[in-house]
Amino acid sequence: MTSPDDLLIKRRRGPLRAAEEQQLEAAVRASRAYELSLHAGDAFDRAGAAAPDDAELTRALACNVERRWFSGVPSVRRRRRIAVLWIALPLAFAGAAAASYGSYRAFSGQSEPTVAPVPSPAHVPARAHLPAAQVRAAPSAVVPPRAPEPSEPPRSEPAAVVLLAPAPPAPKLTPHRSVRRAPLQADSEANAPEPEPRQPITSKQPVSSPLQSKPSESKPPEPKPPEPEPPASPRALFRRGQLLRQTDWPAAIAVYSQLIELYPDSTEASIAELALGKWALARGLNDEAITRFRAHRRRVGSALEAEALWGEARALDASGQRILARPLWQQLSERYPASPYATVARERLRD
Amino acid sequence: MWKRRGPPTLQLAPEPGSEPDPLVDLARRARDGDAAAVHALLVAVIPSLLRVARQILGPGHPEVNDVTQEAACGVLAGLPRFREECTLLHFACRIAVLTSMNARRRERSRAVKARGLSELSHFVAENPPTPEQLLLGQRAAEVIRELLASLPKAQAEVLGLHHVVGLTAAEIAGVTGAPLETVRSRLRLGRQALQQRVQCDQRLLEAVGMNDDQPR
Repeated sequence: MTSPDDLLIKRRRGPLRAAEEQQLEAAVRASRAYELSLHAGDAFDRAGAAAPDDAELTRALACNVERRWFSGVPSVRRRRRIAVLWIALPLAFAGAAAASYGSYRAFSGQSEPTVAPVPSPAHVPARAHLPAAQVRAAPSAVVPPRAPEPSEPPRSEPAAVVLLAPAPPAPKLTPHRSVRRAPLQADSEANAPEPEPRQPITSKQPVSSPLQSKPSESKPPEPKPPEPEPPASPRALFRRGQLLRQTDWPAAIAVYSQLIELYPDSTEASIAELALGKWALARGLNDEAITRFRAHRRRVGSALEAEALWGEARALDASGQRILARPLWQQLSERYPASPYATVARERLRD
Repeated sequence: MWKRRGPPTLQLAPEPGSEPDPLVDLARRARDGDAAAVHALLVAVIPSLLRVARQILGPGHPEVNDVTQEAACGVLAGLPRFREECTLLHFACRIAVLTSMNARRRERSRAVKARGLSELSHFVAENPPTPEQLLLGQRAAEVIRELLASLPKAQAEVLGLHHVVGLTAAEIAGVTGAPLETVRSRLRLGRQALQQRVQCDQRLLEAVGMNDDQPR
């Protein structure tokens, strides 16, 4: 048995046998996806239909391609790729070199503790004139919690100030490192350091204790009074109506009517109005259809106004009110000239 | 509704295996550098490439000719990889689908909207469909075009070859070299994506509902 997918394709290539048509009809009626595929296939065939000047266009394209092919001119995309490579490769090399240099500096910096905030070029000579002890003192000034000895005088030399001052990130780094490193040093150097007060933890305990004690309470759960069920959201009602209209139109009408009554300003209600109008039009209930379509058209900024105009005009035509339908056809052809409805509207206006 | 209206517009090569593909000999000679064969091959293949580019990009799209030209170059460049496991026209159509999809993805990334479709003005049929059916087909085609630019590439390729070019699952398996069940699975996923997209589009949903006057 051929699958519906293959039948859809076979139908695009030529007429089907009677049994295949029946099979395809059943599949399309049962599944919206197949229905969409069917109409989309037709639309794609229309889109790919040959134009009158295709023979000339084919010859011109063939000549262009031959010229490009035999002259060896690479395509635009290939040229772009080559240009990108010319830019990307030096950048990649430069990046790799910078990364390796940076890692080398970091590695050498670990072994030699003379890492200081990078001075600006103006300050390099000042650093060069400093004695080695002062230069080594720089990182300890940047990272102060390394237990400064009380005998050591405060660093008030102008040279050291000049060295340390210009690095802007230094003040930000020092408190962070001090916070992280100070307790470690205190733990290692002092035998019995005073434990930190750990205020945040103790302050959290009373908050967590009632929560912990809750399960131990043996109060029987009080039965809650039954709350009135909230009305379904417009979206949920709309979805319910959409599902119902596939199998049970009267039930769908009830849901759509409830949606319009409960949420008259919602977008879903406006679409429900249109659906009810189309249903009424298909059943020959022209007055009902006109009412629904007009109600939809009264909404400002509806995305389905063309559909409403189309429906109302057809309902008016069907009920013999052609004079009233004429301005609607006019509006349809003027406001939506690219719409498929406009073609029909223009024909009706010509009649 | 399900019956075909008007003559079939899908003109593809005969099914593989039924009779020898007349283009294969041309392809072999073109691969060997025969200039006359290259010209004949291009003239035979370009109309199909043009059709696929129009189908995926839309007939009024300004890049249709460029994409067709790029696809034709791709066909010539791909001849050494053509293993004759499918017809040459299917092979060329696949290249056109991929090239057009790439153009669409580039366009999507630039957030440039394609020109309005003018496919309806080209359509002349013996028994034209109703405006609702035209609109539904037009919108469904737009959704599929969007999906071609947003789905994973392998899935989008199968969706394009099936819905746009009109290849069966077995033909897609022959063209892409993927197992038949994989192709079917990708088709199923593509159909699910199409349905989900339709559920999110209220206009399209209503367009689908246009044919729901009779209960299913």
